[in-house]
Parts: sequence; structure tokens; C-alpha cells
Amino acid sequence: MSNGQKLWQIFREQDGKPVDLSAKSPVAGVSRRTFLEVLGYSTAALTLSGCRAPQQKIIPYLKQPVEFTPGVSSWFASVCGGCSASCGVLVKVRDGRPIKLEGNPDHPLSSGGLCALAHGMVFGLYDPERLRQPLIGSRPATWEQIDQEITQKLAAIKQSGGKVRLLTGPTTGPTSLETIQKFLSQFSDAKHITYQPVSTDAIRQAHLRSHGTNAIPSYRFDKARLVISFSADFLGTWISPVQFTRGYAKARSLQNGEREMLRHVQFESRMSLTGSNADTRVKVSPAEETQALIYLAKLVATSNEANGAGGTSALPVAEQLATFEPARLNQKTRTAVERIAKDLMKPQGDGLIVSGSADADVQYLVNFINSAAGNYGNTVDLAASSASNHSSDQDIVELVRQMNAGEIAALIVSGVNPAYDYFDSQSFIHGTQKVPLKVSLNSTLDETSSLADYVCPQSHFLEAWDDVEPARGTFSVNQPTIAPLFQTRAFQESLLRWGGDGRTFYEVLRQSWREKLFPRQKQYTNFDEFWDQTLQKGVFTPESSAIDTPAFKSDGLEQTIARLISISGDTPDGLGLVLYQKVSLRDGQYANNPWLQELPDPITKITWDNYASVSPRYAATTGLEEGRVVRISKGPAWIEVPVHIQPGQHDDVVAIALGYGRTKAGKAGNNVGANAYAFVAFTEGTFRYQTAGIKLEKTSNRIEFAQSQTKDSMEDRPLVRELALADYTKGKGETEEEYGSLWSPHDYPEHKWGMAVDLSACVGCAACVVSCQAENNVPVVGKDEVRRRREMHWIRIDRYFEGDREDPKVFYQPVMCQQCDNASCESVCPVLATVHSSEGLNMQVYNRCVGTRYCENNCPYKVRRFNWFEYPHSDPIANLALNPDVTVRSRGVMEKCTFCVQRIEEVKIRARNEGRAINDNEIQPACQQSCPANAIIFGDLTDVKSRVAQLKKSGRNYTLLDELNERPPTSYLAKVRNSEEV
Amino acid sequence: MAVSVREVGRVEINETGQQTASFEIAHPVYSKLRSPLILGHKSYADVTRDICQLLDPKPGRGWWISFSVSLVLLVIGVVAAVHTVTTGIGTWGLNKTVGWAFGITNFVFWIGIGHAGTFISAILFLFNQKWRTSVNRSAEAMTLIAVMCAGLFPIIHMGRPWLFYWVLPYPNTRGTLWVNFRSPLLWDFFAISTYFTISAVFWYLGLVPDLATARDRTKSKLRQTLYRAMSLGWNGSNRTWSRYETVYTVLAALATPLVLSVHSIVSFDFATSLIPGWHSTIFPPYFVAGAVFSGFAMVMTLMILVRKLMHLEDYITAQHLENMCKVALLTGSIVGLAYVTEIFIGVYSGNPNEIFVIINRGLGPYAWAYWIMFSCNALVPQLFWFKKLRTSIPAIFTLSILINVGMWFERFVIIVTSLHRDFLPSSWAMYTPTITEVGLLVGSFGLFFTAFLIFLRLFPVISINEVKGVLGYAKH
Repeated sequence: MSNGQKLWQIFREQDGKPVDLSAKSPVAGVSRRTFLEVLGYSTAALTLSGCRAPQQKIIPYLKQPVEFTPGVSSWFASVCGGCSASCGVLVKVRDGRPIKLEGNPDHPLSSGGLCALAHGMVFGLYDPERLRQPLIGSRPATWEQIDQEITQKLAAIKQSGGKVRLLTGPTTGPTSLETIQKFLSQFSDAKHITYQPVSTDAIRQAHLRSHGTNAIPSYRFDKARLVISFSADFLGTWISPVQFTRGYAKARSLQNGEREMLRHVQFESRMSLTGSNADTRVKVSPAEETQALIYLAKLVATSNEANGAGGTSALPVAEQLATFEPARLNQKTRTAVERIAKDLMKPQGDGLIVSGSADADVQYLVNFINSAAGNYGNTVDLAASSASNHSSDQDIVELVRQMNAGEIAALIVSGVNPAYDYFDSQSFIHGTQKVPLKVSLNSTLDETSSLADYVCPQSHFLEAWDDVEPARGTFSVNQPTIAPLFQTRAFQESLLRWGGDGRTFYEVLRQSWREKLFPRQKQYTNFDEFWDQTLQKGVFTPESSAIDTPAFKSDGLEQTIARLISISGDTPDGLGLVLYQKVSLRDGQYANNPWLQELPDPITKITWDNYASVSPRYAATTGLEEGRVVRISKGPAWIEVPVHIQPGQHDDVVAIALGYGRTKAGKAGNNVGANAYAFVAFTEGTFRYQTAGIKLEKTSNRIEFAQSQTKDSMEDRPLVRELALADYTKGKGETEEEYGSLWSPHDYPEHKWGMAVDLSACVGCAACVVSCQAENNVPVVGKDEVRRRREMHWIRIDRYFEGDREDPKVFYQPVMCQQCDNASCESVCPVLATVHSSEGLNMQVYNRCVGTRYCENNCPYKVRRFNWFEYPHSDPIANLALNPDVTVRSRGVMEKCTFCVQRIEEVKIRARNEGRAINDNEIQPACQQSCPANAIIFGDLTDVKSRVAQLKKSGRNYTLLDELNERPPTSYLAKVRNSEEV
Repeated sequence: MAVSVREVGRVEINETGQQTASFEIAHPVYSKLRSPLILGHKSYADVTRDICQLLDPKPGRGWWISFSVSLVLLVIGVVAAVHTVTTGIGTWGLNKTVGWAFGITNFVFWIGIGHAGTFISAILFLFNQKWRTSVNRSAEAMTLIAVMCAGLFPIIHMGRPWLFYWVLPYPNTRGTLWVNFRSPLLWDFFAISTYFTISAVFWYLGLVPDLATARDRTKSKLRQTLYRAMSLGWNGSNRTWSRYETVYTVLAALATPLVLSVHSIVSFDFATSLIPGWHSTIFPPYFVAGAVFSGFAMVMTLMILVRKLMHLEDYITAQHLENMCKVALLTGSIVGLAYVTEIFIGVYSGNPNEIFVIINRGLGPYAWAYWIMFSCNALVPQLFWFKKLRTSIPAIFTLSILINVGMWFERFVIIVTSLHRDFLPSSWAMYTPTITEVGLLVGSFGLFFTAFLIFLRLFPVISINEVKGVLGYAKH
């Protein structure tokens, strides 16, 4: 050191630049300060090294990786592999491990939003129950071993010419499809079958009939002014919910002074998330729903505007439809249909009719109406058709038939689990016994993998390369953000190996992009540059030539209508079953994810269970109570589930969620709820999720649900305030009463953080809840603890039913800590463990908290959460999902929302380093970032120009429980319904 | 010999006392018109013998049975407490909405019980209520034990009880991080510790002359050592007595405001919060009356047991019990009035949240608890208007237990029914106690009775020196 040699560097937080210690020394040689530091560090190092013998040799960053700073997160644009909607994500990588997914704001489809499922994917990566190595039978094996054996067997099949079938979920990536095709091409009879347990195949089939194109169109809710949905849960689970919610919220936004908004009418039999947000919700039975659709078709087809606009060859069906009489529909439903028919024909092209039906005939009729109303090319976009949900129901049924007939020589399953979710899973299981070679590429030892001869676990999507094309002309690359945690391999790699291709999938991917996509742009001349830019941006949209929307073909429409009229009239009255997906578990693939299991369903607020929802009137007449276990059967299919009494449900309908009752999901997912897939029927080429004529019998058992909210009504308290659009445009709004205060207000010298929650935008999808959970290391407590009302979520969505319980209005209200200025929690804490910051945050000091719970009692919003136990953080793998910026709370302390103070501080430090002010919207708490509806707006209230400060001036702004004078900087913007009156 | 000196002193006073009017006023019990406070024509020597003989011999069967039962209850409580502290507050039935329930109910209940002792010894002393002499010693012991029982709950109910000392404003190295003087829990700590200290000193001071008596009479070496140390060299001299009585009066005057302050401050835990059903200005007087009420009920229960167990029927007479019944009647009526006032003000306020609390208490899911509370606390004491019931030992015993049950439920109703349904219906929840919480409640009774039974064996259960003062004429 005396000769000026630099032995180490220390970093100052302020500028991040190394400080040369030796340079600081005024005299040559060792300064006293340096000496003491050396002494201190070396003593500490010696002492610490003496604590435990190092078991592995570790090497610190002698050469720090480029652009990698320990403790600072990096973000990688990628794609969510949670479902086939393939939303663009930014993966937050901290010290080499992905810890959070956030929406990619540059992505054209999801534009920054993300759903609850996507947030749960991080937990899936660190799921300790993922397979850690390949298995032969049930024995662990090496990849060499397994490759050798499989290659041998496949070679034999090649020779014998046996049938090879690859069964996957919807696959959209051009390179993945190419790899699959290349692998299959070596066999004389090979086929790639895509399968989705809950499919939208009917839409594809209907478009084949109506437009001659094998596609699911892209629905542009953002362009629509009138949305008519027939049981399509497009805000919850249907096709691409994040994209649709974004569009829907955009078309309904009142945040920028808009005076009009999209109107949404929903016809449905069960209470869905989408229906609960509708301006007009018409409760109909499935048969009535079909009649309402035919009636709408009749009104549209016979409307003068339709004929005048031409373009449709509707006249022959118009004559046929003119005679249709919707006998089942009551006056209220007819009036609703008549009104929307009138509105639909008025503004040509900005209506949108969607249907969740799995009947291709119904979808064909929907296409007819959309076409007659001129929506194709506007709100229904076939050019950017969605490639994401392609699956063929017919194909898997045929596959299972062939399997049982002993015709299949090899079955390779990847990413799907038909042994659990195929409607006739017994015949699938039975069929596998007749398949000589069964290979599963699933990542866990699930129901299907456990039937396989070889299990070759594929890597998590966060560990592997992939590409996707969720909508035609929108390409993304899925980048790995961590090396595989276990001995797993992407399924494409496996196929490449077995196809005798020695390249890695990464090489294949680059080559494919170089050959196919690179030429489709002109911006970059160098492929590497193009590649890097695409990876960085997360999406590539080539310049595409406009595709004309094919004309509507009405061949066979007449027969379709005739059939629909006859079945909707003939369907016997009586109890029917509607199967649906929940926003948390969807089809059940991720049932082992405790974050998703513990996410309260937006409508029922029930966690960790599925149930048979019945209407209050049905329950009353048949003497059913909440939680009574019933046996529902139809033919050989039966299920025992508890009853949930659901306001707003049709009397003739029982609704059960799919995705439960897994038996080999893992510790969290096994035997949670019951499996209802047996009620799915395969009729006329599609899986049907509705069935009539079921039998419901009471049993003597009764259970208590694990429910996060048990009171449905607001008790006439003005908690969620509502305005009719008509009143709002007239300028009616809330006038806040100003209360005096005995105390002088706090001083906020620099910032005062505030939040506005737009109740008009919020659809209640609960993405924020899981996002917050992932960001803030919120523990999962389990079914029993939720039952004891001890769930830990820092943000919750209060859901209220108001009015007639048979046909209620539904309200959602996200509630997190309101960070009150006059916080009632702060004054009662005896040890000052909760205090007010100079930036207006109500801070909880975990290590000072002794756990009197007085603050929790005195919080009128009840947002504080107590650590009743030491919630386990013992699994070293699962712990990798923890956010290192947020303390893991110990037993006995109180916790709550902090407005993501770690994100605030991160941005503050960055701004300070860059010597600039913090930009508005630069800080986004986890809830705001993931909100697909842009319902949460956060910012600095001292900046009058900030968006949040502006929104607070809106006439819709009000404070929850303002009479208590807690003066929170969090406020709500009243819900506006697009109706004449509230 | 301390006792003889004291007796001589009394004789002298008695002989000369007749001549001065002031003496008459100071000792109204000497009037022959009054019925005697102590029965059985006891002489001074009788009193000394009667009380002291309870200490030395081996305890009887009744005592052993009671002690064993109490000890079992105590062990249950210890098990429950250990379970709570090692596993977490999750072993209780609390939830995100109801953060306090059994623990704080027990705390307030025991603090309330702790009120009667000091009320009897200090306030009744200042008011010259001579009948207090037979019961004040055990009532004060009861107070101390009850406050100890109470003090355990705020510690056990903490999430991290091992850090309870952070609530104390002790000097430390944490800079500005200290306690929050705005928090009623901190006021609680001050109020209760002050009350406990004064009560303990007061009780101990009153014991000193009797300990000296016991010291002089006991044959057990161990006891002799103990009593010698504790009686602080009491020699019964005139000067000692004079100083003693001065200090005793001063302490009584100091303790009196504490009787009012402790429960007022405990009630601030609720009154200063904003939860409807807690946020109420009536709480301080209402809590004080309730505390004295429950304290007297507990004293009556205990005294009936003690006089049976220790054969003290001559010392603790029906007249004592009747007097206590009268106090219970008065305080019970105040409590009843408070209940009605609460309902009236709640409705009169026009505040929908307040009105809701009133309706929810009377008709909601915890209505059973409310009506137990209302009937036991507001209606049952009204039976004390009847002299027959006031003087019937079995009736008093039954009613006093009912009052105790009612007063426990009062705290339960205030805490749980207010919390479980507050401002946002989305958070409404129900509370059901777990076996651990019941164990702690049972255990607190175990601790209470175990400690009280030990007290009975260790110290003169009746204040010998004070009882002698109220014997009347020529009983020496």
C-alpha cells in the first residue's frame, strides 16, 4: 500500500464510483483510518471464517460481470409462460435470480398489465416439488441414459412405421413449431396435437365456417363503444384477459376528462367477474342465453340499417329469423336485447359481440351478428388474429380413441395433463396402458407424468429460450433469466436431441429468427443488432402487409339457426351445470401454487376450494345452506362439493369451477376441492362446459369455507360511491366536507406520496393482490388460517353486493393501507413501532414492534396484518423467490402495505445519482404496475401537476370513511356506470 | 412484647377517651347503640389468639383441597402460557379484525377485581367506616394478587412478550427511539404499576404491627425469621404507633385517587380509540364503578369462603357482608345506569356506526353475552334491595358469583362486539376462543386462588391491631 497500490475499493452509495483509499491518504503510507479499516475487516474476516468450515469453494466477483451490480436488480424483457396469451413481461432479476414478473409496458397486447396467474409464476419457478432430474419409470436417471433409451425406441418406431403423437398445449412460437415439425417429420405417421382442457375451439371452427379462416380473431375492446357479451368472461379467464381488460378499461376510462365510455351488457347465468362489471347484467339461463342471441340476430338481421349497409348476405336468414319468437325470454330480457340491437346498429362498427359458448353454432351466429353490425375489421380483427388459443378438441378425442385401440406407438406429452383434465380421463389413462412408449415432458410428477415410462422434466419458462407469436404479427422471445435450477431441459431441447439434432435450441432459435423474421424488417442491417434490440424491447412487430378481412359466408347459417332455435326451445327446464375457470387457478395446471390457491376469488372471496354455486332462491327452496356438501351427478359422472350461495346466479344453474381436485399436483394442490372435468362433454366436435339435467343431492356433511370476506353488503354505508354516467357528465360529483383538526398538520418538505384508486376502472381481477404478495414477501397461511380470518394480503379487494340478492349490483374496492395523515394506529402504539414519515408514509418498524395489536384494532380500514405464527421460510429453494429488498417478518409483529417503500427509495436514489427530480409516474407500487385496468395511480401530491394530484381534483374523488378525519392521502374515484341512473 | 404494649395503650385510651367529645366522634363504633362489629364477646387476647392460631398449625383438609384444585388450575394456565409464548398468538382465536379478546378481557377483569381492596382500605378508612377492619387485610391481599394476575395478560398477549420491557421508559442507547407517551397502553403501564406499588406498600405497612405479633407468638423458627425480617423491628412504642398511624393515613390519602385513576386510565385504552363502542366519554366513571362493583363481589365471594374455611364467622359477620352488599347495590346501579346511558347516547348521537353497535350488541351474534352481562350486572344487584337476600349467606354467595360472571362478560362484550363489526363490513369477522385462551383464563383463577391460599397461611388474615380497635368497651 505504501507504494500506492490499490488493494481494494469501497463504494460510496452516492455516486457508485470507486474511491481509491490510498489516494485519500495525505501522507505516503498507511493512514490511521486505513489501518483501522484493514484491521477491522481482517479481524472480522478471520473471525467469520472460523465460524464454519467452507464446504464449497466460492469465488467473489474478481471480475464483476458487465452491468451487474450486486444488490441492484436487472430487468429482462420476456414473455409470460403462464398461459397461451403470452403477455409481455419484464423479469426482475436480483443477484442472479428472477424474483418478480411485471408487465412490459411496450408490449402491444398486454401493455404493462399482468394477471394474478402471471405473478404466481415466480413461485412456480422455485416450487420445491418440481422434478429435479429425469426419471425412468420412477427411478432417477441421467439425461444421457434417458436420451439413449428414448432414441433407441424411437428408432425402432421409425422402422416399424408406428404412430407417434406429440401432445402439447397451444404452441405459438414459430421456432418451437418448426422444431416440433422437424422432430415429427422423421416418422412416417406423426402428428402434433394441441390440447386445452378449457378450449375456445368453437370460435376457431366458427370462423372456419364464416370466414374460411382457421383463426380466433383479436377482439379490440379498446375500440368498442358497446360490448355485448354472452357469458364470455373476457376480464377474467377468456382467451387473453389482460389484453382485454386493458382495452376495456381504456374504452371506459374517465381519467382524462372523457365524457363518454364503453357500454357493457352481459348475458349470463352464473355471476362472473365480467358480468359483475357490466353496466347492464341480464341474468338468463343457458337456454335463454341462446334465445337472446337468436333474438338479437333477428333484430339485427331485420334492421333497416343492416340491409341498408349491405355487405351482409343476411337477407335469407332475415326471413328465417323474422318468424323466430323468443318464447323463453321474459319482458326484461327482451327489452334489454331490443335496446342493444338498436344501439348496435346505430354506430356502425364499434359494437362488439362476444360469446363464451363452446358451441360452434352459437359462435357462428355471433360472427353473423358481428359481421352484420360491421364489426369485422374494427373491433373484431382477423388480421391480427390470436394464435394463442389454438387447440383442437377433435384431435385429442381421436387420439384417445386410437390409444385405446392400441394404434399409437409413442405418445409424448408436454405441458398438458390429460390424465387429470381430459373429460374422460379414465379412458385416457386406460389408453396409455396400450401405448408402448409414453414420454412425459411435464415439469412435475403430475397425474400424466406418473403414467409415463420416461419423465423428462422441462425447464420453467424463466429458465429456457422460447419464442411466441400470441397474435399474428406480434413476436416475442422468451429469454431465460436463470440457469436451470435442477437437471431439467427445455422440451425443444429434448425434441432436438431425439431428432438427432445436436444444436442447442438457442442456436435453432437464432437461426430461425435470422432466416424468417430478420428479413421482415428494414431497421437493422445486422442480425445481432436486431436480435439484441428485440430481446431488449421484448417484442418484434414486422411490417406486415394488410390482410383483407374475408367476406362473411353464410353457407349453412340457415341450418345453424334452425338447430339453435330447436335446441334452445327444446332444452328441458331443470337444473343445469355450468363449468368455469377461476382467475386464480384457471384450468388447474398451477394448482400447486399456494399464492394462487390463497387468492380470494374475486366474486365469492373463497380461497383454497371449489364449490357448487347456487342462487339464493334455489338454496332457500331446497333448504341448502352455505357449506352444505352436495352430490351432483349426471350419468356416471359425479362430484361432491360444498354449496356456495351466490347472489345473482340463475335459479336453474349450478356453477362449479374447474381446476380443483388435483391428486398429484404437490403438497399445496393435492385434494384441494374436487375435480369437475368429468362433467365436460364432447359434442359435435367441441368440448362443452354446460350441461343440462343434473341431479343434486344433499349429504349430511357441512364444511366451513376459507373465505376472506363474509359480509356481502355495505350496510347502507357510503363506502363505494357510484354515479350514473348521465349524472357524471352533468357534473354531479362528490363534494368533500372539510373537517377541522386540533393538531397542526405534518410538514412534508420534499414529497408527499398519495394514491388514487379509480373504482370505475377497477374490475376486481385481483392481479394486484398476487403482485403485492410477490413484491412484499407476504406469507401464505393456508386454508385453516384463512378460515380463522388471518390471511396476510396487504391489499385486498372488498366486494359488495347491493340491492336484490337475486340480481345484485356488484362493487369492488381495493383497500390497502391508506397511509393516513392523522393515523389512528400511530398514536396508540406504546413503543413507536409505527410512525409517520416526512413523506407522508405510515411506516411500520418491524424490529421495534412488540405486537400489542392495538394499531390493528384502531385501524378503521382493517389493513394491518399480524404474524400470528412464525410463517415457515425453511425451504431453501422456495426462499429464492423472496424479494431481498423487503424484510421477512418474524412472528409476533404487525405488518401492512408500505406503498412499496423499497421502490420509492430505489427511484429516489436513482434520481439523486442522476442529479434530477423524480418524474411523475416513475415510482409505481407493485399493485399499480400490474393493474391491467390502470385503476391505481400513485404519485407525489406536493407536485400539483402530478397525475394523482390532478385526479384528486376530479368530481369523483372521495375519501373512504372521511368522517373519521384520518386524512389519508389515498382516495377513491367514484364508480361510474354507463346508465341513465344508479 | 408488642401486643401487650398495644393493649395497654388501648386501655389507657379507652379510659380517658370517654371524657372528650372528639374521641366519641373519632370512634363512633363505641356507641352501645350500634350492634357489635365483632361477635362472640372477644377480648383482645381472644383476637390475638384467634388470628394467630390460624398460622402455626398444619393446614386443615379444606385448605388442602382448595389448594390442590387451585394448583391444578394454575398448572393449566402455565401450560397454556408456555404454549402461547413458544408457538405464537396464533394459538388464540384472534384474527385480522378482532385483535383483542380473551386476553384483554381477563386483564380488565382482574384490574377491576383489584379495585375493592384499596377502596376498602383507603377510602373507607378515610370515611371512618370501622367495619372495614375485618375485611381490609384480605381485600388488600386480593387486590395485589388480582393486579398480578391482570399484569400477566398484557405481557402474554404481546406478539413478542420477551420484549415487553420496551414498553418501559428506561434509559437506553437507542437515541430518540423511546416509548410513545400518546399511547394509552403506556398510561396503563404507569397507572397499574403505581397502583400496584401503593397498594403493596399500604398492605405491607398495615401488616407490620401484626407481623410483630406473629413474630412474638410463633414457634416455627422459619416463620420467626420471616416475621422478624418483615416486621422491621416493630416494638409497639408510643412513638412507633404515632408514626405508623400518620403514615397510614397519608398513604390512604395517596391511594384514594389511584382507585379512581387506574380504571379511568384502563378505560382510556378503549375510550381514546376510534372504534364505535369504544370511543365513548362515559367510560372512565363507568369503568370505575364497574371495577368497585366487581371488586366487592369478589371480596364477598372470598370472605364467605374464608370465614367458612378459617372459622372466622365471629370476625366476618353477616353485617360485614350486608354492608358490602350495599356498596355492590350502589355501584351496580351506577353500572346499570351507564348501560342505559350508553344505549341512549348511542342512539341519540345519530351516528350510524354508534347506532349499529348498540343494535349489534343487543341483537347481533354476541347478544347472548350482552344479555348475560346486562342481567348479571344491572338486574342481579337490584335484589340487594331486599334485606332478606342481603343477609342470607347462600344468596350473597350466589349473587356475588353471578356479578363476577357478569363483569367478566361486560369486558368481553365491550371488546369483542365493538371490534368484530366496525367500519368496513368487508372485514367483519367472528371471534371464537380457543382452548388455550380458556386455559389462560382458568389459569389466572388458579394463580389467584393459589396465591390467596398461601396468603391465608402466611399472614394474619384479619388485621389484629385494627380489629382490636373496634371491639367496643372493656374487651381487654
